[in-house]
Amino acid sequence: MEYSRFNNLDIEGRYIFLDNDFLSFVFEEKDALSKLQELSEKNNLLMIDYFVKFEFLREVFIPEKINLKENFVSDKGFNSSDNNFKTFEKLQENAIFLSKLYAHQKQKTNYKGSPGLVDLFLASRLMMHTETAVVATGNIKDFPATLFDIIDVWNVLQQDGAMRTFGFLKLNKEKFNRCVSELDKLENKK
Amino acid sequence: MEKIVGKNRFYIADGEPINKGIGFNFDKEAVKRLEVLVEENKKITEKYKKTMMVGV
Repeated sequence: MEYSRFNNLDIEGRYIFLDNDFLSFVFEEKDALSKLQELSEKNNLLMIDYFVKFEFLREVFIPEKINLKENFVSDKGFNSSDNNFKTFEKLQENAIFLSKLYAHQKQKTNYKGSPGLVDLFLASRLMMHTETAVVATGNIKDFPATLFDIIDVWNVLQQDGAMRTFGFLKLNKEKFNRCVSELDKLENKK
Repeated sequence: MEKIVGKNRFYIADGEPINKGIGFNFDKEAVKRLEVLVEENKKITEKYKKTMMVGV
């Protein structure tokens, strides 16, 4: 496989939350594992959210594959995110609030994405670690540009000739505050 | 961390530095362990693809 980088900015000292499509890609392509090691060497922690783990494991019916996937996602090279109930409550409030912001921005821009539950919870995680967390995802459109910045892009040319693109995105606090303020103005209109 | 703006409450934090002391590194050993699983996955996928093609 060949990798090319778009921004060539070093991602350092971050919590990198892996989206399911990214994790599934790594599970299929062993060359990608050494790329993850390179990220880890730059003081990054690879994080797996509970919902991503659920998505990764669901709908697998071949018994040997279930075991393999469970062993893969539970490997100690990956870090499970904090899942206590107090954190979950906060993430849930963030997810609902983000869904309102997305819907409001959708009315104002050409944004066409429709993020699902897992994407909302991943975005909520990014809110909890604004400057230090990024999400690695192939579904860049699920993280609208009105709130998120792409800090790096990986283009991967696979052996079968297919091209995959993964983005590393972070929440932009200024954009976020602007969206919050716009929604607040709307809600206070009579 | 908690913020209330108008009718909305949410939780947002500034960038506290990453605490690697609480996490695990994705090191060469992790790569070795997971490569085995990825290879095994390929074999299983191939095996079931053939089984399904002949309708067994």
